[in-house]
Amino acid sequence: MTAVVITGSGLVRETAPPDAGPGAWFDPVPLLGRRGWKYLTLATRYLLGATHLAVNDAGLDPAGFPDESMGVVVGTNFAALPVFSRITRIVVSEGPEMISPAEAPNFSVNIPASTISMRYGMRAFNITLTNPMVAGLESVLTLSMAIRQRRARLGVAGATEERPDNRRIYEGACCFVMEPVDEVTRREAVAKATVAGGWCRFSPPGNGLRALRDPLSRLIGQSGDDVCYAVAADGDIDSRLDELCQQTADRMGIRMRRMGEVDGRYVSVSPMLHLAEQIAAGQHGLVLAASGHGHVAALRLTR
Amino acid sequence: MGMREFYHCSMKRVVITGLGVTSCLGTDLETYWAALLSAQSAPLVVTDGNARIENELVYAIRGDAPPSPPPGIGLLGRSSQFAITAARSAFRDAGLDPDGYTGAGIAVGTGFGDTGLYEDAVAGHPMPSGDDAYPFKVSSVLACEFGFTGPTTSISTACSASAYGVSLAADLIRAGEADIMLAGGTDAYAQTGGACFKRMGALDSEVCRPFDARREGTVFGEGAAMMILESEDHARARGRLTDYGAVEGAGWSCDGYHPTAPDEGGRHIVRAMRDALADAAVAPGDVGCVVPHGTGTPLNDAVEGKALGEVFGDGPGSPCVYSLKAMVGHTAGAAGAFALLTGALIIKHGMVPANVKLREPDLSCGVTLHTDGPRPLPVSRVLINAYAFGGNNITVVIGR
Repeated sequence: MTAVVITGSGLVRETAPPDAGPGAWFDPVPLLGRRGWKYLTLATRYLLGATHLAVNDAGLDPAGFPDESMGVVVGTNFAALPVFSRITRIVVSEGPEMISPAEAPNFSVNIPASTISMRYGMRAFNITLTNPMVAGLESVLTLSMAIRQRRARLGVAGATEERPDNRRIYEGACCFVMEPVDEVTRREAVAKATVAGGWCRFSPPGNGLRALRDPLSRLIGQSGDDVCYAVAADGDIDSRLDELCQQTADRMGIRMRRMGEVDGRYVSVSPMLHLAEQIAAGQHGLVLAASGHGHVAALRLTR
Repeated sequence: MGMREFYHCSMKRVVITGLGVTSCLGTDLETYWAALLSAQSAPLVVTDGNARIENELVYAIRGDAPPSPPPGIGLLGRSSQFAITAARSAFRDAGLDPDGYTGAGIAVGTGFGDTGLYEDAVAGHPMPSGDDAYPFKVSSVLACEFGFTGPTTSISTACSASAYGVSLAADLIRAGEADIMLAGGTDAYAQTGGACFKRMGALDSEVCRPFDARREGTVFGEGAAMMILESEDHARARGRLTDYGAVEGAGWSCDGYHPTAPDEGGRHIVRAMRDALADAAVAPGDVGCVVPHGTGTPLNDAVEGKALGEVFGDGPGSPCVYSLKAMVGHTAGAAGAFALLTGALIIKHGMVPANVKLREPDLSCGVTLHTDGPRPLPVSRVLINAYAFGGNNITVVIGR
């Protein structure tokens, strides 16, 4: 099976507590230039900024590839909610004729991802995923599968979040350039990590994560080596996941070492940050993401 | 353009074994099919007391009491309600008790998700909070409802979302991630989406009439269309092979051209159709019917009509075209699943219902819609197109 690797990472994120207004931390000019972003939502600007950084980090010139050979997959939960809520208030108080025509298309949550395709000519496909918390990790898994199926030669997987009125989340976006290993060799790029496997499952209330034992064992047992792991979770599922990891490691006779703090503040971007940190630190391991409802995704990186 | 070569992890055939629908035409398959055969449908005038929108037309669902939220879910939006009802019907149709298949997975497409809860909040209802605050939690709702632990995904590529859901579900079965997937789409009327379309001049003031010379735009519908997909081996082992056909191939593409308008050249929707045929390893002549995206939006229908002519030609051997949205409206993220479900029924019954009569067919689109009664399906294979904002295109081929 074709190995799919990550050759570039790009990250923009709010680091101070989110007390200021949405977007106050982000200056688009250095990444997006002076023009062309005024009518884009903040979530779209963040995503374009992260894409710019990832493409540069990968040494990729998208113009050098046929447009139908490059795909885009993006995960998000709240990217469209701020503008959706703003438009709803206008519709209720003033009527549709008062909606800004330039802003109207942004009610659709797939516009951030679509804007990458428009800017970079990546037209193999464009997919937006929206499972709570895990959509970012899913974007990496989905692009990996699509590249192996030859639906694209390479592409960008990412996640983006913009703070809505009713939830104190941190904003940001994170993107990865992904390609098959033979493409990396052809263009003499550097493979920073290999997507060794992963899955997205659900653990219904009362299941106690039992359903995850076998898939997790298969994932961490691939190499037989010790594994470092990070968790991005929403709610109390975090401690149960931790326990599951340790039990699985004990049963398999390997050591699992946790990296970093649990960080679900960036929602679907959170597990992507863990991936980026592992890649930057050269500590390739496992990243888990989980939602309070019971969505759980896992992704294993190797060198 | 040469035939593209696809690689799947296995050659598993993925069959459709159950269908479920919640629509303006009915909430059981028999009623839905009978309504399609009647070729009569009209939108309702929706009075939205919460918004300053007058006389909005919607192919709306009226009646049935909503299901209760499953364990783990607080507020249940209408999109989730429709999805639960349609999914229950699909399992019944497939002869499956979900309790016995907890390893099954879910791939659901939705454009609006449960954002209706936020519209309700502006009107004074409780603001979604905690886990309920996630706008696109339909997949969570379905997984909690049925207790499934398999692969679960939520796709929101606007109006092509659910066709992508079906394609991804088939891929997950082929990859060995699940033997059974609940796949489809759902969307409820959303005042905000409707208002944005109105502001963009993309709504028709009378009726949804794709490929009519006087078309002004689309008219929204609402509902859910769900299907049970299984590996053929699994369906055969439980003695449940059906006449709905199999998911034979899919072609993905993106215009990457404009946030709302299609690429007028149609290059990428042609590519999606040809890739889907290549993925299914069939030729254009092997297709008996096309269910186009056909929304009634002037430019979109013209571009799609031209693309269909480029792929299939316009000779006597070209497939029937069935313009579904004239019956159910534009069901947004559920539109692709509605087209797929209808395609499966066309295969099962071996006939293509008559199209709704147009006042003035737009001959420049190059699409011929039969209106003189149902036509026999000459080849048991249907090609479905679904397109979206951002040019997020997909074509799926089903057949037997």
